Amino acid sequence: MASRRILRYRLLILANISIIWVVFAFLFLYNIILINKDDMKGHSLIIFSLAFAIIGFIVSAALVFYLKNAFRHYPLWISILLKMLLAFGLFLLIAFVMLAGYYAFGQPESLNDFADIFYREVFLSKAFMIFMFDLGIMTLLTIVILEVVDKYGPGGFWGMMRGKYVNPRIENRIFIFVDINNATTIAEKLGHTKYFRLLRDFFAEITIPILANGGEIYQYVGDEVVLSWKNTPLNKQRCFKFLRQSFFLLKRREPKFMKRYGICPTFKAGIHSGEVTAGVIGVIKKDLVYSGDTLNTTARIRSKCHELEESFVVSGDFLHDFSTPFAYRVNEIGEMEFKGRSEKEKLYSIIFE
Amino acid sequence: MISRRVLWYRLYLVLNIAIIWVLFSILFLYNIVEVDKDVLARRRLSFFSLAFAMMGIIVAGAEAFFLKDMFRKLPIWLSTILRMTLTFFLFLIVSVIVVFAYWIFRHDGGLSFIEFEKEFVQNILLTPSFLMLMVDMGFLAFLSILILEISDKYGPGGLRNLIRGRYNKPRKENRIFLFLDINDSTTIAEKIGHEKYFNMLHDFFADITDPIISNSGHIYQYVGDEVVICWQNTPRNKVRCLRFIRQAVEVFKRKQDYYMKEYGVSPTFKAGIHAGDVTVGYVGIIKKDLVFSGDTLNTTARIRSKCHELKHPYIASIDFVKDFRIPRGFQANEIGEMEFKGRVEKSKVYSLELI
Repeated sequence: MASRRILRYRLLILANISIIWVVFAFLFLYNIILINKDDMKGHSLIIFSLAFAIIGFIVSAALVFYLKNAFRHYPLWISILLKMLLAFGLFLLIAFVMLAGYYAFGQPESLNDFADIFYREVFLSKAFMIFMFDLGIMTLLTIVILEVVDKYGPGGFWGMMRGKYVNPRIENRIFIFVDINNATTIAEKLGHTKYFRLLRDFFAEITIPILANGGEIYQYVGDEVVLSWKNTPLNKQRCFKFLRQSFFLLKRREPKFMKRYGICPTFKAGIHSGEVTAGVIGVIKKDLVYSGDTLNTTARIRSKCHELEESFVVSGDFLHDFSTPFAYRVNEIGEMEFKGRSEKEKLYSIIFE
Repeated sequence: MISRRVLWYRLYLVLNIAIIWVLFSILFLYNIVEVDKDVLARRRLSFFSLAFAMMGIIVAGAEAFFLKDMFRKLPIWLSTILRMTLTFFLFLIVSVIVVFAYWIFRHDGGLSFIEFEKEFVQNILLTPSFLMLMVDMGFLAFLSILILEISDKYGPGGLRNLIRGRYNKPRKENRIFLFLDINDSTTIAEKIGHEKYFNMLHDFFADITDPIISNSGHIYQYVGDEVVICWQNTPRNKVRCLRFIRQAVEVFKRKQDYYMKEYGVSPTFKAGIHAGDVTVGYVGIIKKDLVFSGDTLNTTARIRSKCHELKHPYIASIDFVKDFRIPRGFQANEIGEMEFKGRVEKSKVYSLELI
């Protein structure tokens, strides 16, 4: 029951991968046709190449859509091998079906003769071997690309390719620190491994509201996840929506969590916005880093949640120049010192109506 | 000026990439040879393919060692195009030299060099196989650049762990953690401006890479101005952890002049060290990352923040110091106590002195 949002995001990635596939398919197919020029003089070239193209397309679609998560719990190399085996089996199956179709519509010879010819002329030909090899490489590449894109997060891979943060730049961003309530207590109760699974499920659940509201997952810091948006009024609204959607989503998922862990996680969040310097840091381990007081302040606002006994605490900087949307209520609940400012700044709580 | 350690690490990467190159080039070369069977029928195949392979190696070597950092400040797609253009010219130069050598050694007096060259251009440079080779080379060059970039994102060993599926199921590990933080970061940032401060941060993390690699540390993550480094918890790694601090201190002492000249300040750092159990595994769907979870990390962060309070740059917990004979050149002195979550009694913390 993958959500529509995630599906759409995956489809986007798939569209990009398909473009790569098509480019490669042309290159490979061209090679194959050139090689088998002599062998194929008697056959019709167009049908042959079309058949290869169709088979390739079906196999790749199956790989990308159905097999992506099939062997998730195995090591990557085993899952790659298994997937390639499955692809090979599928390829044979489709080839046979197409052969039967070709026989039914065209050839007057007996099926046995035809199959014989097929095996000798197609299955054992160099072109077929090369095609299988190419298919293997493409499969490998697809799996690796899918994995790597997930490491960078949405837009991250593209940003890296574009060199967006090659030179550090100052950006005005919104940050939300999201943290599970009573993490230590839950961890002690469940044991650490089970707690880790809970954490993983929690992060998986809030992925949907994050995607739906265009948020960027900046970093996981222990049990905390740091989300970020560009600072625009629209995105501020999205932040509010994100909080609301995650809150109710977790409520809806309560039975599932209760069954699995005997506990349903709730979360607290600190929200702040301001200027940060964004850039890529590191030599052997490169990462996009936002640096600045804004982040430290957000972390401190998040830790105020506990103190003030509020789930969602937001800074005055965030609410400044922004009229709170319908269905949310904002109350002043306290003050806090900000680094580098002489006066204390106000803090507000958010309540859903 | 890349340090030797980083160079070794890169060499190891290049070796891995070279294996991929060889695999691909066999496939491509095979294709090309098959395609141009007719053209090649009257020539010596082995000689021809050897020449191609040689050119490939020269070009690949230049790519990996000289061109990698050349366009570092440009976007990847632009630097790829530039590098490919350079590669193409290099290829042309090398091929002309090879042809010239061929002409000298196989000269039978029949053809002049000009004629020979003309024949070369007509028969090799303008053939489909040559075009295909260029496309293949471009593809491989692009792939190499991408692999280098991606393995840097994962950090050393990260990609291998992913492929081996080491953390597919969350597992418990006993690890040493070191939180390292620049002293007075806020003051420095205010003094030199945020953009310049970020550049200093960049240099700081770049300079610290060397001691990390040479003591086989693993960079877990960057959290703001902080970097979290970890090791498996073994006595040997504890020694390495201490050695790392000493080497890092020395690196910044050596580079003091550079930092003073460039930024007007010379960064120093504080560090908190702790050891204990953590759960390691992947989290996230659209952003997947390896995460260490557990109180050990929070405690390490708190120990690091004690540095400021106790006015000592390097502080280690009793969990790190116990069961371990402090090696010569270091000294651990008890300087205070601190509450640890889930423990009734307060635990001791030690300051580390470098002697």
